[in-house]
Amino acid sequence: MAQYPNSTAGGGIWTLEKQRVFQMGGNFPSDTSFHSIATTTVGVGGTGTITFSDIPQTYAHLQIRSIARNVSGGGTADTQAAMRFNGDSGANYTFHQLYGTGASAGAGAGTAQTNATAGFVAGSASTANCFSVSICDILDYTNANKNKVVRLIGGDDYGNTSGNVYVWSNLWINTSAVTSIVITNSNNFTQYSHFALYGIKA
Amino acid sequence: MAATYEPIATQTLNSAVADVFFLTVPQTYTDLVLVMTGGCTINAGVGHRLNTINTQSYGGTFIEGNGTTATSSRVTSDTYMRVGWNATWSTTSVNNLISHFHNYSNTTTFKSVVTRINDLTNGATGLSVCTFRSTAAITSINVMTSNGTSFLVGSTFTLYGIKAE
Repeated sequence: MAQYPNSTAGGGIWTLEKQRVFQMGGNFPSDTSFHSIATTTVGVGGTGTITFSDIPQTYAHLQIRSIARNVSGGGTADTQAAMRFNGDSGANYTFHQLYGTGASAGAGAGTAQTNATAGFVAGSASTANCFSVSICDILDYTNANKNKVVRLIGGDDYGNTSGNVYVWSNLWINTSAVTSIVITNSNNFTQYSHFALYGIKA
Repeated sequence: MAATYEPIATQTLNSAVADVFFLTVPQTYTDLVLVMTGGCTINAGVGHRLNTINTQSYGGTFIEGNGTTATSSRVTSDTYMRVGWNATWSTTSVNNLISHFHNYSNTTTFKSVVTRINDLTNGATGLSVCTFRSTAAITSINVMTSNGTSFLVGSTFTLYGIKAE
């Protein structure tokens, strides 16, 4: 078993290579239950739509990990990236949110929404190179017997002097298995925005 | 579909130290996840210093609930990333933090970290989003205490890598 710090490990500091060799002979297992399904990195000029289609039905849960920033609009503050399942544009989504602005905490909710939220998007006027970060879990997405629940955490530090942090849930009132996800942003996602879809096995 | 979420390194302390280092972080993943659980010899907060940068390059926003109230706080410029904010690691309760480092190896965006906070010392739970105002790739992570006190023996720190394809 690895011990840290170790008198032979360079003043109590181990490099990762030392740890690999010491712990596992340099071989780490890669057979995990977390799989990369598809990724979009936004190119020059930006885009308003990210699409994940033909989603495999072989996982228990999905996770979207993203960084994002607006091309235009939104001022310095962040906005939300809209998300629809299976092309459903009806008023079939609800949400609850808990948020912190750095000065106060608040909560909100909405019913009969026409989309869920996939993540947060830093404002186009926020400090250069600032991107919002988000982790969005779509739970039990293949189950055809219950409505689908989404959990979302994230936020940003968007002006060197301001920031937001969010804990968010969405409900899609539909029992269909999720086979496609379309994420949209009327302000467009700027270059280097990144959306990665993963599948998690039970 | 490619399997990912691989353990990169794990450290279990067999003596009390104030700093835990992950050096020469491989640049082959998309995101990093750092899972930390343990305590401190004297009450302290927990944070990160990246690439050994100790200038006022770190900011963050936090939200915390203690069963009675929800509060939000913020730090604009600090010399380390206060991912744990008010969460207190102590000798009497084992706390844990999970930090997600997004797109840590790119050289075009500032680096942001989402951290889930469980604070058993104060009976609270929370979330922080902190930014390292640098476009440099993250090549090293120093997990540190806010006041220089030491992590307890048995505290564990595990770094994972997630690769998007």
